[in-house]
Amino acid sequence: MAYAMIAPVMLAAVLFRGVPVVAAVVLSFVKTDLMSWQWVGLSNYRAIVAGPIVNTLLYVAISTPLAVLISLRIALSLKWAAEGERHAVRLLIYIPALVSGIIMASIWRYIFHYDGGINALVLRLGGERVSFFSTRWSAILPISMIDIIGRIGLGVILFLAAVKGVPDECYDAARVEGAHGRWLHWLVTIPMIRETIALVTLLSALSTAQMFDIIYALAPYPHAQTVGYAMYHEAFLYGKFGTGSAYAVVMLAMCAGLVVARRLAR
Amino acid sequence: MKRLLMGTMALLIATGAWAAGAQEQTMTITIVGFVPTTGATAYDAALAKVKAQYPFVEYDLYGIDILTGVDVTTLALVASGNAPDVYVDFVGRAGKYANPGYALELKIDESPWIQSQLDLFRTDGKLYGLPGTVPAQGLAVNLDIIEAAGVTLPEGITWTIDEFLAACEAVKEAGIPDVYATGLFGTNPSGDYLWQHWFGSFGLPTLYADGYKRTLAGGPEALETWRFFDTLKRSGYIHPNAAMWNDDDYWGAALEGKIGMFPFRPDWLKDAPFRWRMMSMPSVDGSIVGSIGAGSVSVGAKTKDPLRAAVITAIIEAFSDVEFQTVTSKTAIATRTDVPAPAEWFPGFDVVYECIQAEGMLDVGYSQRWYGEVRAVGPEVLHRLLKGETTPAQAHREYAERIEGIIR
Repeated sequence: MAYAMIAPVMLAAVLFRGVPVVAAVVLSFVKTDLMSWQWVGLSNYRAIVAGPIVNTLLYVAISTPLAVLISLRIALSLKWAAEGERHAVRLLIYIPALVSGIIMASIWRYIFHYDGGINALVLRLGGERVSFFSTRWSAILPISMIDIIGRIGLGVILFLAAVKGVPDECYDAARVEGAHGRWLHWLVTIPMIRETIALVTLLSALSTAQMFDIIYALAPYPHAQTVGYAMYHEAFLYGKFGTGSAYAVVMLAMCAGLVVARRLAR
Repeated sequence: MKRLLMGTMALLIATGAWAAGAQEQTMTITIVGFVPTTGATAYDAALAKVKAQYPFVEYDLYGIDILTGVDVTTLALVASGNAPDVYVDFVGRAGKYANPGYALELKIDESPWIQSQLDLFRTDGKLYGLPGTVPAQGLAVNLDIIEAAGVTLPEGITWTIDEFLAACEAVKEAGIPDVYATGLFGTNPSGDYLWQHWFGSFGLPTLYADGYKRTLAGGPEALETWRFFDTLKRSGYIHPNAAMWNDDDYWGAALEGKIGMFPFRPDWLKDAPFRWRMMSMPSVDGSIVGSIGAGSVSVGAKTKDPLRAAVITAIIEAFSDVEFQTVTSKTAIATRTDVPAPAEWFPGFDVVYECIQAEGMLDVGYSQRWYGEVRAVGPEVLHRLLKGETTPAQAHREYAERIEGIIR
């Protein structure tokens, strides 16, 4: 009976998740423009360039720890805040997570534009205009910042729930043992919410590894592309669906690697 | 019991026959392209004409959904095995389908068409696509900027590269805030014909030779073009951030009156808040330069059903017949010989028409299957040149080698 109950969902998962994954793997060994097909073995993988993979790893390495640390810090600050204050801050922080990535990126586009807000400020202060996104680091740093702003909302919500779940008795016991101030968090809160920290880290890393919309709107350049964008670029701009699929398989491997690493770390 | 079974069988057969009959009464033709998005009377009239001839036809219309120069709607339909019956779109997107692998062979009376226009869509002598009118471009000149800079334009439509560069220098010297002499963009392939037109200025009538088996992008004319782009950048004649511009930035700046002289289509200047005129692109010796078109082509999907093939062919012909081209050629150039020149041409198209009459259309390989891949190379090379990361010689070599690698 249990299998019968989960059968529709499993069927949907196989149809709409499993089949496309298998199709992408098969396509990654084929040269096709969707009208003609030719088996090319590993050629599509050899055509993959390192740039998007390196960029993706950089985005994950910068964004993930910062997003986790900032959202954890905010959640800890709100632990003993008044109910109303906590709700207000939570709402304020969660708004960016509610806005579609492409819309948020388009707004940032105006801010970072050569004739945009930041450069207007720079000019007013007597500086020279900055061409944001024109080099690897002038792209990766602002994009990471935008990515972090979009991620901390979910992190704060999850951390707040976890932090609130830590029993007050634990803090009382720690205080009796002489702990106070930030040591209460180091010795009590963080060890007790480490599963949530691991979960938020994994979710954040997975989202950043799959980043597409911000790159598409702000920096679709080779020096800033992620694997997700390179996949789109190869398939839909070049019409090379085989190479695009090879990038998709690489992205799948990267995400699977993150999940396996999380499992091993438990 | 036997009677009951016989009765049920008869009922089933009758219902099936009725359903099949009902099905035969309509034929749904899927059309992807300009038709539903433009709401243009010419397309509506063409579809109505076919409907009058084949009353059982119903149309299922999809608009084109262009992402960075690629029509995603068509790709999705083709990938899912539901290729549209008719695809009518910009030749740079639809042209690649006009081949025996996808398209229906069009068996029509070809005599009214300009044969060179049809040749773009032939394989082994068979025709697989029918062009509409071609909304071609020339060099638009913002007269407000040019006069403010004290430049006197030649009276005719032609001028030399040196005269053009002198005008650029004058605009720069005028120091009008946020105004640049001309424009380039180096981030996306869409609108590539806008900057590729400069290859014509340096003497390349086409980027390809030997039936598209070889590119001329490695020749001395192309090298001069890349040097020219570098000059525009180094001399400050284009926006300093042009490497990061896309075609929308170029468009926006041009229509906001921030660019003095720029390759453009006359009809795009319809609501321009400045005075303008069209000229030929400048050339090395001051001769007239051909135009680049960004017209449409209609392609039908292969089918074994002769009736469906006839309907598809009728639709495609209607999208390019005399009535259709007479209406649409007010802002474009006709591809049929029997279409009269419009009494009231949109301003500027007379100049573009003169360029085409004199030097024809520059061929950038729109109709080739690899065009999508090739067009993505240009901005990558131009982007690095405009950022100062490569020299003109390196850009020239890379552009030619990468195109050669794709078309080989």
